[in-house]
Amino acid sequence: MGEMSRKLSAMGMVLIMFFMFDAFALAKKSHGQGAKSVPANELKIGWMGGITGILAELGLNVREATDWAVEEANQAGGINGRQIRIVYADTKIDPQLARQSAERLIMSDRVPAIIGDYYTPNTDAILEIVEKAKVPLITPGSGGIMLTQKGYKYIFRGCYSSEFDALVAGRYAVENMKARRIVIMGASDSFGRSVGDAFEKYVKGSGKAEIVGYDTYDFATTKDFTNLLLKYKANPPDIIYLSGAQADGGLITKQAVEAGIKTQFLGNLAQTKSAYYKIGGKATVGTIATTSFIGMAENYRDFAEPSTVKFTEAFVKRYQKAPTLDHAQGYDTTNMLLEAFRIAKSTDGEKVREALLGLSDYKSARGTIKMLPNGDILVKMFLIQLMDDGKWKVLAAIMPKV
Amino acid sequence: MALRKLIHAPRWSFIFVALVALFPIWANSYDRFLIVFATNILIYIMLGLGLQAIFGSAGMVELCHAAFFGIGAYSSALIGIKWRLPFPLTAVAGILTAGLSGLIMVPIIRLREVYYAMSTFAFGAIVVVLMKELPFTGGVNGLGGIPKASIAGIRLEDPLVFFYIVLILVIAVYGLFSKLSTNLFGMSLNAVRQNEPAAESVGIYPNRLRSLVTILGAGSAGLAGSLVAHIQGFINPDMFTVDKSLFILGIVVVGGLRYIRGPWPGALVMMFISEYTRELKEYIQLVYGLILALSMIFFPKGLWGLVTLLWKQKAIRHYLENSETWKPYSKSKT
Repeated sequence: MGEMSRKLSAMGMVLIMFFMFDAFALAKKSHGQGAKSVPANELKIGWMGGITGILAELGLNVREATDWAVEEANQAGGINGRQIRIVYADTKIDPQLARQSAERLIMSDRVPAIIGDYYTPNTDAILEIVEKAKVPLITPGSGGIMLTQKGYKYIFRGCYSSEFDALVAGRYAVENMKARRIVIMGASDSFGRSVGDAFEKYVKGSGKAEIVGYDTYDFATTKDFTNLLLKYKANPPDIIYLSGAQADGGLITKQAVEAGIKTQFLGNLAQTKSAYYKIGGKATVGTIATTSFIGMAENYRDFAEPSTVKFTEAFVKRYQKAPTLDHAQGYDTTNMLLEAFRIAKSTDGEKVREALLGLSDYKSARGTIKMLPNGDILVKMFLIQLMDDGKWKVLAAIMPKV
Repeated sequence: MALRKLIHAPRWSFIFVALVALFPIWANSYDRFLIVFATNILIYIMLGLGLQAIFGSAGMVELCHAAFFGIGAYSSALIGIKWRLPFPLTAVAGILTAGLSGLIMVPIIRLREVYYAMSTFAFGAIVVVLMKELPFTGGVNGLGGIPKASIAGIRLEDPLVFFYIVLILVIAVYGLFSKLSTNLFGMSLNAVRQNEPAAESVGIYPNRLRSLVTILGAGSAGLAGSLVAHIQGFINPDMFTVDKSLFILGIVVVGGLRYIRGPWPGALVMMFISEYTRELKEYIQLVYGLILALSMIFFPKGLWGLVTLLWKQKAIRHYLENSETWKPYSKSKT
């Protein structure tokens, strides 16, 4: 080794040491400062969600509705004179990626609020980050019950908590359908488990029906449910409650009918998505599911509020297709956040948070929304049934009890 | 220099490390997210180094690296929550537990090729199920309230401080694997990979070597898991699924399977693609596939293979041009 290189390496090491200590000193001073600035006439809002991967359809629907709501607001002159720009982050179904995206949106893009994520584990993973940065987070689709029960102050839902899903479904199953033997089948992720557990708790608490089985599976990898289903062939239950997602729900229904199991399927909001009918085919006809948006049902005018009718007609005119729950939730979530900005007249996290909490009589695409103190919303729920051609029919409307 | 000899580092590597160490100084005033991002890249490099030792050097197709990552994260987090031990101790516990879980895999080390790959795939899936089902892991909701990392009173929560801690640890892990790859252990491992019967005939025990390299690889993943757990304060089973194992595999393959330095460019490229192409929205998958296909066609030995190829060509040309004894190209003015 030459003398020269030895000197060079020594100098290198000294430089590293020097800059490291310098960095420690800098770290103390410059927390939260940066050279990047945002144009004064622009309002950047973060958007997180998987638009690739197995839940892509959902993410794309939410994004479509977000874009629409933002376009409308911008055409009407923006928010407090500022044009809105959405910064997108694709988080797939990976909580670690979601954390990185949230950090990027907050530290790099300096967004004052974030719309997202719709996948419950992703939202769960970023709660702490938004809480620390005081950036309000409003989710267009994470129903996981525990999100709003951890005591975080900056989490809001534009969708309803899955607790309502499970309670309304449980009440309908026990009271209206008079079911006595019920099986729960659902995904083992935090969403599926929380819905399934809440449903089980309600049914057991009512004392009028019995949970005969509670099966869980990994929703991303399980494709064959025959073994789970054959247990119930000899003595089929009155109801199989699906507490998973759309694709796995479709497969369960299909495989159950193929195995000759005659029962009634009851689903959560995931089963109202088109993938359920596409994958399950004719077997899914007759499935009853819970939802808060009924624009896709044929007889929705009999049950819907005027704001729902208005949204549905405008949507059909614009996109030439039937709206879905994702569209309605994406549209409502974006508009609720924009409304909060309008009321707060500022982008300060604290003020936007207070404005969001103050939304008590908000006329949304799904009906009148009331924000609850923990960030959940209260909205009227519906039970809808799948018809022959993949269309839906509204059976009943139920206001969940808080 | 003793350090240089110890880890067999060439001259330029010190300049490289100096540049990496300088990077946050610039990023700190420009965009602090870049520091967080660089730290994530370093953590993936650490994971890649462990998998490279198992997959690249020992030739075992291991598809459960995220499981070791998760075991390290969960064990370190649980110990931190339960006994409130300081971070360095929980990190050691994470390394040991992950290494022990590598020891559990010893029986399946006897399996070969695709059978081994299948078993490790299953191991990865089982670990995720256990994380969801065991009574003390917090289940599908994940594990929160993990004490934040601090060393000797310095809190590592600041991205800048954490970056340097991770950098030092990554260099240490790299030094370990680099040292191992060039000594008798690494040479024996190479021999086993290339021709097992021949290696056995000169007195090498293949399974002993394989077990050891699995334990070391798993241990380094455990360290990465411990770092992630104590800086995030929250972990859940969805972070350690088979998808994550495949992503780490991608890092090793893109970087160069047979090169111990491969994970560095591999992690850099894979992370940049996944984070900085988000403007492409859903078309990112096309770009992703295209890049992987192109890299397979044009540099099958990975990015580091490409670098060494260019380096070798330059060195050969240099040698030929300056050789006194043999000149293939006539430089005379005829």
